[in-house]
Amino acid sequence: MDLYSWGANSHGQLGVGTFSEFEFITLINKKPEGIKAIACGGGHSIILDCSGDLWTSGWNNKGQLGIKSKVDTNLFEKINSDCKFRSISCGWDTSSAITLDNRIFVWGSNNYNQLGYSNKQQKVIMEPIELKLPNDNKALDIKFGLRHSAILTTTNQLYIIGSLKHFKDMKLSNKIIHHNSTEFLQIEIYESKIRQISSGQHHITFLNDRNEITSVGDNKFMQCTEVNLSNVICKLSSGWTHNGFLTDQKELYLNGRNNYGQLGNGLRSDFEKSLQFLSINQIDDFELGAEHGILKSNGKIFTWGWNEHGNCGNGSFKDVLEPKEIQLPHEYDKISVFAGSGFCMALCQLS
Amino acid sequence: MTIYHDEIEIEDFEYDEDEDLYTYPCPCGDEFIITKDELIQGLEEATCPSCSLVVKVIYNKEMFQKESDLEKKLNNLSIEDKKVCN
Repeated sequence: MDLYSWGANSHGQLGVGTFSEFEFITLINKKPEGIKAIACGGGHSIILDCSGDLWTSGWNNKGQLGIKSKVDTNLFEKINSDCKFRSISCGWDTSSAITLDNRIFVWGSNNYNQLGYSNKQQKVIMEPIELKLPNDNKALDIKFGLRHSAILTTTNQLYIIGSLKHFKDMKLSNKIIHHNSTEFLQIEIYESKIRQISSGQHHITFLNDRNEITSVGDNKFMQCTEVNLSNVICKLSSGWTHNGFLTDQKELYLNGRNNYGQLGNGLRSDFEKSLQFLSINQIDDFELGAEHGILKSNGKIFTWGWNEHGNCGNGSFKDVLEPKEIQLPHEYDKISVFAGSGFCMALCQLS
Repeated sequence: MTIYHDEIEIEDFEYDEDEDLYTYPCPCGDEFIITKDELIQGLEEATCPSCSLVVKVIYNKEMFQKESDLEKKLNNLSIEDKKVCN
């Protein structure tokens, strides 16, 4: 199993032992045995290993590494925790992990109460602590924006906590619940069930069980425009101001900002008013960084978008307006792709 | 002419009291920075030390200068108060 990273590395988020950026894919030598998932944030990364333990590397000014310090690291270190986790998520300077019994643990910046602690003294949380949800709800997923957290419960409730500035005037019915001195903005949807969520810089996109996409929040770059797709949507991901939708036909559609080629349509424009179709077939998976993207198709990795820090891993620093394949040192049978703000990771395995 | 990555209101920046500067996240993983002095001078570009991106800071220059003048006067006052007390 080989783990690669590339792109911006100003805080050691690539986990390769240096603080310099890499425009070529680079092998991570120090990593846990057996990797289940990877989450990439603004300047830090988390690995979830197969035993349910967590490893982190990178920026730590807000305690987002969860290792009881505020010093950056450039190699993956294990977080001390008694819990075993099943999934992980990273925001700009926030981190979270959900346990096997769906309890949610959070750490990092609580500057906007985005970790659910209204205590003014506790703006930085340096180790995983449990975030209790209203009505003893359990968490299915959490996705962080820049200053908000969107939490989907196992009962299909959607809560938003943290900075609610961009969610004040939303058209959807909603109410504020006060719980543990925190304001939980609950989006009230009765006619359908929310299945998946993703968060951009100041917006949230979600998919319901009727295959409908809804977005709320900032729409400066048309990232919250209506999306209608007839094919079944399997996965969502959001960059800062753009979104991607992967269908069961293995097609990828994108909307939102396009000034660095984020939408991969070969053009550079402020934004696109309509949904853009990516001209790559058989896409198995994808993820969006702040202003770039990564996908896998037929055992190959493609990247596109902003490339100033080598985010696209193709040896250049020029923006990539259409997805281009990047060269792997070997052929692999199984590949998983991940994107942080200005960097990428890929987990590659032989069967 | 500079192409701005975004236009951000000053109230959305985080203020660092120790360094007297304002910061806002940059998509590269670093932060856009503008100092309080630069704002008092009427400058409006916050730059990122790690990359080429620039954001325009939206703020009321007159009000910012007035507030800063007032702050200076208050500081001077408290210094004079101390002198009187001593």
